[in-house]
Amino acid sequence: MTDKPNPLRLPPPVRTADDSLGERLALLARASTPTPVRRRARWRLPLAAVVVVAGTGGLAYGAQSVVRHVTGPSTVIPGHDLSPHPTAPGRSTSPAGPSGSAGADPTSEAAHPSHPARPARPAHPGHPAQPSHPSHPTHPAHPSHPTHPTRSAQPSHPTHPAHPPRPTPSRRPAESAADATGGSGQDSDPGGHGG
Amino acid sequence: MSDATGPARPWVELARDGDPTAWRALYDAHAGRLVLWLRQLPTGDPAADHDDLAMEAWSVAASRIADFEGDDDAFAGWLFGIARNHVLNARRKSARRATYAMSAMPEPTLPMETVTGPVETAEAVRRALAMLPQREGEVIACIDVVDLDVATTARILGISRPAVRVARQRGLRRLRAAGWAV
Repeated sequence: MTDKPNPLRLPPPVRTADDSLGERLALLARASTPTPVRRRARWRLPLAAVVVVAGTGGLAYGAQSVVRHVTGPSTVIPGHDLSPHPTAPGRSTSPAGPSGSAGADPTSEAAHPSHPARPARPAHPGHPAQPSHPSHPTHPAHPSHPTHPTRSAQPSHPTHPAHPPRPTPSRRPAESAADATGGSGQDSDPGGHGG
Repeated sequence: MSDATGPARPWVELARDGDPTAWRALYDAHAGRLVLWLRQLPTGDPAADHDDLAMEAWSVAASRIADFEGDDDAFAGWLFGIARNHVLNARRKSARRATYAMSAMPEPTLPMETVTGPVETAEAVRRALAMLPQREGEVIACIDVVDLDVATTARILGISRPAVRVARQRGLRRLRAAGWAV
């Protein structure tokens, strides 16, 4: 600083504090002083958050394990027979054979003792000449019965527990009927183009 | 507590413990300069009272003294910084509620020849600082008007000491160009 007087220098106004002002400021300072309890809360809050998170997670994990233990696995095994009359475990997934006369299967009768053995009814009365089921000329849209949920659940067909899938699904129903009957298959042409 | 030679402990420590005598001593030491400094800062509101702003700063300082970790020399910078925040808030508030065209009316700097008394001198200094950029006006108000040191000014304004010196030199150059013998 230089010795010459500064024209910008102004004398400060006189402000003196009385007793009431000093007491009021001191009360403000004492009221805002943090107590040891408030200081301790700085590390108690994160600890409480960790405890809450861990407790909630453990409780959820325990409840889920108990529920899983009581109910068991709820997964569905693909290809399992969901018919109302459960069959033998090995019988449900095995193919019925090309003949389709499952009503004569002794294992099926043994599995259902309440159902007496009935004579094998013709599966498709409209086509008595067809000895085998796999063709199904009257149901070209349903190549296989086991995949049809309504037909597999019908109790009137206990002799048809399972039909094997068609060996060649891409073949036309007329050709399949011709293969089954041994004829030319032109009579069953749905399109009428056989003439 | 305190005797004629001074307190056994710094005033700030006693004030932190809630000693009324320490608060009175701090108020007597800094209140006058704080009001003088606030008078030099434009608030944008003609109805703003500098004494009210100063008292708000003292109240905030009393309630936040537990967070202040400085000594008696640093207390002035901390207190003036609180007051500056109040001034900035008042300036923003007046800018939001402004319904008069104050910016369209420039305030001319009075030449020194027209100054005849203390009141006119204070008004001339206030208008001269209002013509300067904000930082330069604040620096000159702290160093040349209120007689604070560079370190305290840097702490109040939140800038470095070289920045304070540069702003002061630029502001004094502008005032010399306006006719002030500084």
